[in-house]
Amino acid sequence: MQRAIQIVDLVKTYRLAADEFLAIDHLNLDIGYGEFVAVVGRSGSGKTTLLNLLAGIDRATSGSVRVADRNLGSLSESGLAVWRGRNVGLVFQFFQLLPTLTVAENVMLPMDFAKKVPTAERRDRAQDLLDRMGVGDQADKLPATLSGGQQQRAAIARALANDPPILLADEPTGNLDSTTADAVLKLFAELNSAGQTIVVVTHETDIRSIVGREVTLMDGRIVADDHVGAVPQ
Amino acid sequence: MTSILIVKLRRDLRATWSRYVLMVIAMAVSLTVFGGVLLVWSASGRETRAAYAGTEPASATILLDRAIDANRLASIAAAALSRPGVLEATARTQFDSNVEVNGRPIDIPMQVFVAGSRDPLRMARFYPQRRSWPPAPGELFVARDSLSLLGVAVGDTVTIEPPTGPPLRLRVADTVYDPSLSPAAQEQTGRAYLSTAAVSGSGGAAALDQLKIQVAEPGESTPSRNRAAIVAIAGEVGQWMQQTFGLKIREIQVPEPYKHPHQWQGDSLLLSLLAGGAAALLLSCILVANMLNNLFTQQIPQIGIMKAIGAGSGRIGRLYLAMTLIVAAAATLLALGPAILIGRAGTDQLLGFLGIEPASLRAPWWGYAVILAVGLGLPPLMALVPLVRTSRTTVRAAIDHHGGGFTPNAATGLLARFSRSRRLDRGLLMALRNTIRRPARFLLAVGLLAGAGMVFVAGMSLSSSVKAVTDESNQQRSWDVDVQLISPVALDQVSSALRRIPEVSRVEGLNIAKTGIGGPGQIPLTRTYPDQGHGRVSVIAIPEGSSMFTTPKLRAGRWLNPEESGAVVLNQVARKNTVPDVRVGDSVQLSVGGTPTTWRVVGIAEERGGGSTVYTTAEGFAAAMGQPPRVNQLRIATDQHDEVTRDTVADAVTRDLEAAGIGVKSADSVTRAEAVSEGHLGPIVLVVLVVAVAMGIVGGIGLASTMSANILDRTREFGVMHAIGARPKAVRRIVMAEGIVLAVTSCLIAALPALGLTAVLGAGLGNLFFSAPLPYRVSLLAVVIWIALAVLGAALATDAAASRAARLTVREALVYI
Repeated sequence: MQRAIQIVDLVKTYRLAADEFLAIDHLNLDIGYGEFVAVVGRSGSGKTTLLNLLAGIDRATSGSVRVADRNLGSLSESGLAVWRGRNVGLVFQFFQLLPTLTVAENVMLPMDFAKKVPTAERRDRAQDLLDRMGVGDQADKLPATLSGGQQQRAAIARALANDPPILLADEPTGNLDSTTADAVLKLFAELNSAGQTIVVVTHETDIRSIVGREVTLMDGRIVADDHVGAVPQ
Repeated sequence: MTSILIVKLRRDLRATWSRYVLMVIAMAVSLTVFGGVLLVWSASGRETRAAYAGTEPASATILLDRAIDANRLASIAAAALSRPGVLEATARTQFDSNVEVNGRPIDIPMQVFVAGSRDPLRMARFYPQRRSWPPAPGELFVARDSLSLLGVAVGDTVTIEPPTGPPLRLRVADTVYDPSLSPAAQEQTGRAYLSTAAVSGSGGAAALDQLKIQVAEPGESTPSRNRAAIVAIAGEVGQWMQQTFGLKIREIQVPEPYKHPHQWQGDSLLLSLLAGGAAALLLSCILVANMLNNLFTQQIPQIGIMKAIGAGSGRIGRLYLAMTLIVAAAATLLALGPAILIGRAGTDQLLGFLGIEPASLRAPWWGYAVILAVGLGLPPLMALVPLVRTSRTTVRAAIDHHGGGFTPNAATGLLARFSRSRRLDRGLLMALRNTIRRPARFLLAVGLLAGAGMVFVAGMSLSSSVKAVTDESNQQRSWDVDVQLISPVALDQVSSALRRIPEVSRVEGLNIAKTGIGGPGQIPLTRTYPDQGHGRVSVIAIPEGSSMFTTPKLRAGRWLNPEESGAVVLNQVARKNTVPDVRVGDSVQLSVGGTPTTWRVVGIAEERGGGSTVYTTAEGFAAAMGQPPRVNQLRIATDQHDEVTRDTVADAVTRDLEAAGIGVKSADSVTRAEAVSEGHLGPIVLVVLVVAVAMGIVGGIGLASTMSANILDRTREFGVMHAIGARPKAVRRIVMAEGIVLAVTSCLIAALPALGLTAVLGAGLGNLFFSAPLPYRVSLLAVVIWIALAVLGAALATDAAASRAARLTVREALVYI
């Protein structure tokens, strides 16, 4: 299986006032294309730090992070932005839609940045993605007028705008009620079924039922790596 | 920039329009102040130079010892044109006179300028407004700015007293504009223009005593601006007149070439304006940096999102650069109109102070270009650092951004310790911490307010310093009536003549003589202007035991000993203008009333507003002149110091002295001297005050914008406070306390620099006015006004922001990006 993500001996420390805090402790992890991986663990276990390292939001203290065939340590901030736009879709807990752009414009913006999709096709693609996420009728509204669930669906559509090989989500259901959260997780499952590589950081225990693999972190180290569902093709 | 980013830019501007409007207004106000000042400076500088140069001022005036027949002097003037370097020559004269308007005596003296009927006015020009030169015999022209001072109008009859012959009754036929003279109101002297025909009509031929020449350096055909070259050529002409025509030359007057007699005043006003413009620009820079820093900081979370979905730093930088340019363009457009209006009104006002009629109030093109360049260029320039820093914000930093610093700074740490004290109000402590938790914003906001406060206090203090000069002069003037005699007489003779006036309590006499240094051929050389007042150096002989003379402060050496002979004390202006290299102990040669005299300099005095003065003792002066001690100026103290008594005494003194055969040139209440002093310095005080107030306005707007940004930046935090039970009133109190803390801090920070700035500006302006620093004054009124303005302004400026923060719902606050 081809590796979408390859982490070797990863260490991440944060400098605090008194000393250093070890967030990721000599971690090794491989994730293949098409996998749906949940990273779980208690608060402070290093889940979000790991996701930020995978997205190029944070930089490793030592070790290497290779995602979508690029060693992230070798990329500049600008290089990382370009790489992210083309290779990674990010979904945040608080949706993080730009408040002054309509939902469709939020989805089109990454296409403008990455220039992978021809200009003439961007609007149609955004509408298509929003339709797939079930919020097509909200395309021309401002984010503030949408419910939390609708905003998160729009955020997922934005994450998929440039058809990235990898989708990274940080607590995507953390700010949603259980019904809406179930619907969003179902959406992730459908995307994975269609071949999308997904890594989700979550507290939710229910996610075991839909992911293929569950990586459990404690104190920055992997304490369990369970294949809980079907092995991807 | 992508089309969606353009949409975002447009909507961002629309979504928080009130904030952008505030920013545009704040920038526009400071740009208006700067632009207005710049336009006044550029237009009035051009007009002043052009107006004075347009009169083709004489390079030199050769003053004869006695007036001669007008026709003879005119033929000498024609012959002078063949002398080397002489471009133009004309014969003139002038005299001072008492004046009556329609038979009513006027308390203001008249300076009368006389030119030949056929004088083409190619040099030392003045401009009759409706008629052409010359006025008919029996007529005179009056300077336009003298009309209201004298209470005279065209068509009135004016009676003046020429030096010889009977009084002349003349009809005012026209008005004259003469930009070569200082304004009549400032000098408290009327001006009139006569032709020789009017003077000769009174009986006898007209006599003139001035040969005015315009000279050029060898090989040049335009008037020289080199005073040394002018002195050499004028000296040669003077000697030629002595040798060829047997004339005695009393003095050669060479004022600073192409410098208006009130150039110092114009320079001071323009310098004050320029300093005001620079201060406005400086504040504008701080304001722009502050507001843009706030704007970019608020956008950090959105920058994080854009970076997370693939935007590079360059693209984000361009987005915010475009935003900055839009704000800058809007502010520039908004400021341009008012700046032009202020520029024109200010130029009109300033030129009015200087007595100059503008050919055009329009500023030169480069003035507008500078406003556009500053308006459009300054914001992006000031934005550069925060823009680059913000656009380079990492996604992680952007996502973590919550409106405060990540790590508490030392000051926050210190304040945290105070929280252990139960006596301190928790809300106040929170406000204190909030105020300093973003050091850059705190420093910019405090810097802006402190800068504005500093300029305000320094400006007001400066105007107090200028006013103090007048107050000091008034305080030292312990007498009530100034009397000028036509010729020196013995003081005893005067005292006995005045004995019968009961209101006179004390009389002191001085001898004041015009002086110059020995020029080419030992002809006395002075810097006297055509009005015979500006640039003149006077020797004042001080009587022993005078109680109406205040010994000036000494810069070097000592004051005169009683009855000391051969010794003089120069004031700093006399030294600068006459013998700049002389030191205490040196000898100086002065020509006094045509008599060459030699003196030893025993001291250098420092005076403000006194002109160029050389002091000696009455006995020393008498010895040098070979005459017994005499006086030509009287200082009279009256028993009552009201205006009625002063006027009554002035009239009685004139009457009694003339009855005793003593000619009186003028007898006036000291109020006139006070008006002259205030007239000269008043415009400067006004300009400095205007600049100070403008700075206050800019500072207030800066505070309002800072507080507004501060609230927006912490919207989420306020939501949290509401969520944990803070009542709107508590939030409002904290926010307002922050504004007041900021204002008070700025006042404390501004205190010392304001004192320093006052000293620096006082030294600069004082040296320009009087070749001595202004008296150091700190305006306590300004300090109180500024503290009140800053604190009240802070309360008002934060009120809107505090209300908004108090009204925020928890939900609104927590979803805020």
